[in-house]
Amino acid sequence: MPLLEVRDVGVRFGGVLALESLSFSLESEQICALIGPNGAGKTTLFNVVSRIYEPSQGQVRFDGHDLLEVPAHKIMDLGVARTFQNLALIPGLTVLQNVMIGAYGRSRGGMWASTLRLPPVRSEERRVTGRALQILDRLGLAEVASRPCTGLPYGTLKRIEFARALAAEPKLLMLDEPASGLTHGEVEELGVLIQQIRDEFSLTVLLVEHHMSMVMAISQKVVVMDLGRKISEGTPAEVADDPRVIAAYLGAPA
Amino acid sequence: MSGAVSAEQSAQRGPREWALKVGPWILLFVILAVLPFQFPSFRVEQFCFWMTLAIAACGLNLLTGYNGQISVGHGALFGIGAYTTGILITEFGVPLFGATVAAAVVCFFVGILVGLPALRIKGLYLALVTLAVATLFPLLLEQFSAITGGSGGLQITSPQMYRGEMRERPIRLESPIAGLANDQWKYFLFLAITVVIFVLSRNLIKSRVGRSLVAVRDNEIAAESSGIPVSKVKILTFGLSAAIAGIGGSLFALDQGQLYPSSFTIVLSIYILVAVVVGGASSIIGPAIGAVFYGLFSDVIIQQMPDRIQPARAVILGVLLILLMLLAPGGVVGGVRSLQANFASRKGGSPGSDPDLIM
Repeated sequence: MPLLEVRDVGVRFGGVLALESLSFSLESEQICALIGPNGAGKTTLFNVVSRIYEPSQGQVRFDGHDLLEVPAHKIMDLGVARTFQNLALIPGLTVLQNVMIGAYGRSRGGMWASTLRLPPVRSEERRVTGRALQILDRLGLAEVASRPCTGLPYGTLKRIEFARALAAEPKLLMLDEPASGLTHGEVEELGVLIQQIRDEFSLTVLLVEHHMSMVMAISQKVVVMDLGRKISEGTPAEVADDPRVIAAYLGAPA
Repeated sequence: MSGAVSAEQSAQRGPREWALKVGPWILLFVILAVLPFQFPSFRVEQFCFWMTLAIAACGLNLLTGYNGQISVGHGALFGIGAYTTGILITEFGVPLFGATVAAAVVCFFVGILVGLPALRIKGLYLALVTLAVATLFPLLLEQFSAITGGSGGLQITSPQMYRGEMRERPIRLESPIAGLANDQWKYFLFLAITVVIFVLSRNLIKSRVGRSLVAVRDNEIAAESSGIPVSKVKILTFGLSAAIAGIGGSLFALDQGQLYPSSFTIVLSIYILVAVVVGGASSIIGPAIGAVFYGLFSDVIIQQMPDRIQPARAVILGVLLILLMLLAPGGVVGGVRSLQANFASRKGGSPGSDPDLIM
């Protein structure tokens, strides 16, 4: 059974059809890339799966659950974590605290217990801090752990979001353009890192990415979208040869 | 682990850093301890009022500073705390500080009610809802004069032994300690409560829940995707913030012994907000500093000025506020922090990397 199954999903904003009956599925521990020209609906699909947008039709099943039945703040409990295309860090917190936010749903401690700083709250805080530091260290961010998360280089900020998503201990990690703004060498490094993290944490990865070299190097499956529809699906090699894909990217031959 | 600047490491800083961190607090507590012995009774009474204001500002700061929800209605919540205390003591014979606990509970639920619209609206629109609450409250007090005493005021009385018989008499906070005058006793009692409230708020802010407040303030979608129940956090923060303001109001009632609707107008709400902003929103100690600044201004500095200037106090306060916001938009604490950051970067340290210094 696939881990994530998107079936016949459509999203309409007023008169604009952002997604039109899109279907695809994702096997456990696969790395799957969503590619397509700008405006193809890739981020819209991300927002449907992370329950930010309500689709006007279709179904999304994840790990035996109907995702559309689950409110946005609960999908993390089921094991779905994501990063954002335009960064969604918390500027009022340090880098470490941002990563700890990712572990929110994986930790305990309510308002009253926290106010009194009861012993279980303290030991939980130590555990979460330790875990967050481990993740930061794994992603090479240990140096900036206690810095406010503003004024850092773009690539670092992207990586912090990556760390925050990992802190949620997800089964499915959704990365929205993780390589954007990175230098050529950094993109290659990131590709290796994503593969390593997938193996270490037994993750399934769904990513939106424009860097074709990275997509082709690391994904087992590629879904190509254009104007809200899926136009092709398969291994990187299959997709690269598909005339419909070439047409969408280079314009249809006359 | 390599190079991780962890919580353990920050605890192991040198003795000099430790002294720099703890020293100011020890100094502050010494000053606070000798204050009531250095000033006449009427000043000590004023200090008590400043503390009730500081408590209310602390509550508002959790909501506005940390959770990003603006309320200009905390004067009303302060008033609800005060009147709940007064009515419970006078009508139902509840013990004084039992009434304070009850006032906190009542305000918690009122706060949740006031905060409900926050699930749909935010920013300026939410501020307007709380403004309506602040405007309505004194009118409601006069409307329900049967229990509130209306504009004639509510005299808080409790059954007390007087000349060998039980009588309804005005409440008083009497010092049980021989060497301590009543006002000094009240000062230390209020100081203890104020410190406890600020320490508990600090605990909350430095916890998982505190981080979730800031996350909801800064980015709701990111918060939600990280599993934070945004609506629940907003509503609970409103309730908690209101409960703390209510405790401030309750102490005000115990302090004054009589309550009038004119004490709880929109002006009070604005003063509480001013205390938060002047001290520095999103710093724990900021609201206390702001309350002291406000107290110093309205009870000390203005009083020293010639009588002709007195009527212009609101204008003077306004000008001072504008100047402060221009010079230090982060309030007193924000100003000190940026000075520290300047100092640190001149010495070659990373700028502003230790928000712990002032909590």
